[in-house]
Amino acid sequence: MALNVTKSVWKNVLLSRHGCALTLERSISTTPACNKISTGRYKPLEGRYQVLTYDQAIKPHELVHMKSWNTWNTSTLKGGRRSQLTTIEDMFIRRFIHGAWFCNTVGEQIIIKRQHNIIRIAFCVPKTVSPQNCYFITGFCEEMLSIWLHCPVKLEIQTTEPHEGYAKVINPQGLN
Amino acid sequence: MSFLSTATKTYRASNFHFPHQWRTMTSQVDINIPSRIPRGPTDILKALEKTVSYDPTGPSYRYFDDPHLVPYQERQARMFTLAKNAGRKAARWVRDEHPELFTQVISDPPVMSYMPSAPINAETVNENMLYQKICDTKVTDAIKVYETMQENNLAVADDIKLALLELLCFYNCEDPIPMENEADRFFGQRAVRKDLYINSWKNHPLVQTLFNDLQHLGSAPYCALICGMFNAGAKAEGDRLLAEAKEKKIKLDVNVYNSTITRLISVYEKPEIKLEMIYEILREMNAAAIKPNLSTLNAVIDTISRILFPEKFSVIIKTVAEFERLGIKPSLGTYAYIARGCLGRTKPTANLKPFLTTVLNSLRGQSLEPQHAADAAFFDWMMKGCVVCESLPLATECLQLFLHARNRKLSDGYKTSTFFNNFFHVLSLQGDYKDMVKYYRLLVPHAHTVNAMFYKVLFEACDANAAISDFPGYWRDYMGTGAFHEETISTMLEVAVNLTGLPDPEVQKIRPVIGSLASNFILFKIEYEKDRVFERVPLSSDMCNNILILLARGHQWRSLQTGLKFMSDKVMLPQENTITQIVDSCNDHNNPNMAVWVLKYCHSTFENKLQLKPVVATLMKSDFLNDDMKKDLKETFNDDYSSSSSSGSSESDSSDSSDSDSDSSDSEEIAVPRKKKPEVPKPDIVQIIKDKAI
Repeated sequence: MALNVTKSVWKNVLLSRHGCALTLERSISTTPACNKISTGRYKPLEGRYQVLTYDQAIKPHELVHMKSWNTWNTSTLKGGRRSQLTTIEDMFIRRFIHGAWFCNTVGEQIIIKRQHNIIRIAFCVPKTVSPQNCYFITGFCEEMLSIWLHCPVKLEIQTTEPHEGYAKVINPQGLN
Repeated sequence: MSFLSTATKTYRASNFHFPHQWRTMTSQVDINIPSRIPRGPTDILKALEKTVSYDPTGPSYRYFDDPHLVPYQERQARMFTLAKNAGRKAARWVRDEHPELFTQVISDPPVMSYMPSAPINAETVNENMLYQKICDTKVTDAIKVYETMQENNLAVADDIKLALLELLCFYNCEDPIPMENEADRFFGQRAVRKDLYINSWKNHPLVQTLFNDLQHLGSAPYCALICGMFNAGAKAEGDRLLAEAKEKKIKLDVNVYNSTITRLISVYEKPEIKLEMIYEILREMNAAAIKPNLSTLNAVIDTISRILFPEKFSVIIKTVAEFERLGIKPSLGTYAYIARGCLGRTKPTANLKPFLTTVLNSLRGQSLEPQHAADAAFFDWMMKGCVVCESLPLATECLQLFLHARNRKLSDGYKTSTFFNNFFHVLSLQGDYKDMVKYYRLLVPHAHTVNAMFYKVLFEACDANAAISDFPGYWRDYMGTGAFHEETISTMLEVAVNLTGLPDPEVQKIRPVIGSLASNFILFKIEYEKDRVFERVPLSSDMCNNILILLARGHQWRSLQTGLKFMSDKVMLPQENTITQIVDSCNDHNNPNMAVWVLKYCHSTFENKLQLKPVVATLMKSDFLNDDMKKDLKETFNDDYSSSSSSGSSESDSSDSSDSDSDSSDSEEIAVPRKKKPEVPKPDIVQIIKDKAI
């Protein structure tokens, strides 16, 4: 237990750049779970490889440095409106796109950009989908989402090889 | 800072010297505040759009900017656009089938076009709804609403009834393609105008009921019905109704007269009588004090241009001049009709070329605005005129006008395709190689897919101009179009053989490229016909010979073997000349094993049909083959080449690439005739019975 606490603290110290997070003096903590920063970090698993998408491969603290956000809107700025609605709509859009494209979104990351009253949705599709199918589903998605969200929706698709959606492979434990 | 202040001082001082000029200038300036121009919400977008010119070298913006999703043929472009449109239609269908899923209204003010339409039943129908459906040109819905209202004994005002009758007559009781459905309007089948000779009048019972109800209104219902009947080709019914209206002395409007003139197209009479009939209608209009409009002019010119008589052009010009005196200027459609009239059946009239020149010169650099439905045919008929005149300068002028601003939007997909086809036809007849390449690079593949005949001319031009480096590109483009025309492919292969045989240093570079293209071609031919019965890639014996030469020159040895096997399968015979050239190429590329293989294979497969001995004799005399190979050949051909075998064979290079070894082993497999089926020993039934008994 003690070892775990020390480990997590050390990690914090290493991660924080300007020492604004925890310091060694305040290392004794009764709530280790709170200090444990494990969300969005993928550890090596026992006995099997782990293939991470581009989204997963980048850790949360690297977010703005190495990768941009998946959602772009102004609802969370000061004076921004309908932030809750936007979030729920984004979740809905992601699930709808994932289903309408028959789980064919490479890397499972969908970027949603809102500009004025237009919603632009960008993602990658594997080249195994024929262009004609691609255009049919595009037309269907755009119109369906327009009908639901009451604004013009545009899909921006790029085709990639299926393996290009994966950015990083984590070896199993002890196999580095 | 100090510099700035001194500069200002200097400026002030310099102006201070001329105060008298100030006074005079201010008194002379006459400021006119321009009157306010009313702007719409999309005017800025339109102004911005004008700054971007049309680029025919790239795909349209409606497609994704991705090499996998960009169309490279017209057929693909049409398919992708219609596929996207079908997806949209499917979504709308889901919305209309399940309106309960789309009840939320999150737009303010509500956007009605995103919402499902209200259900049509006894509770919801009313006059407003009917009027709204008529305004939205939803014909089927309007009929349904009216019938539901009738069932529920709801009264409908006469003006709305009249609007409904006009709607039904104008669209012939069919739903039109909505304006926002651009894909269907551009690429769809229904965009083609219906034939006037065919009666497509629906004769919906509601039309007659409405007409009977509204007869007391007089002119309007008659006008609507007569126009509808004539436009849909119901000539007999229309004539009857027209006679009835005249008998009752009902005043008819200009649209009825226009459609009556158009109706004359399908009257079989002598030219003089037909002309007289047109004049008669115009005189009637004059007597009834009805002012003609642009549609009248277009209807008259349309009808006259279809009549065959010698002084047609002068009559047309006089008519146009007379209309112009009335203040009606001819539109683009009028020009199109005049051009069509001048085409002639066998040869164009002498007036066609000056007419086209005048029209195209007067319209040069203008952005054209459609004024009449006939304007859609403008570019089509203009280019057809250029084809008949066989004039490249005129065709180029027409193309420039077409590509200028948004002028190309006048034509739909089918007409655009015809336009470009005609242009490339003129180009292939009149243009030199430089012109062809210029317009080919500009328009192919995104603006237009060129047909096989143009490629034939282009390949011939390549041959004549020795365009060695450009040729593989054209080959690739042509195979991409999927139009496998026998003559064109034959020409292409001949030209390829000619070009790769030229004594030019550049030829060495393109030989492997063309070799790989030829290899792809023959493999494609074999693969393509595996699962297709009716579609064939034409490949005659001569073409095969040419391909073999190309493969040998591009050192595609594996494909060369495939080609020879293919020829033997299809009972085609290689020529001696081809074999000689292949052996020469083997010599050039230092591959003696292949030469031996080819000779042995041809000997075993084609046996006595080919005279290979001269080739073999030449080969035996040279130092190309080593002793073993010569011996091998000698055994195969059973002849004495002792004179040549002694000459310096020890110098020949025996070491060769590994693939040639595998080739020789391959050859033995091929040389062996097909294996017979192993004989299955017949079971000796008597013995079996005996065994069983034991």
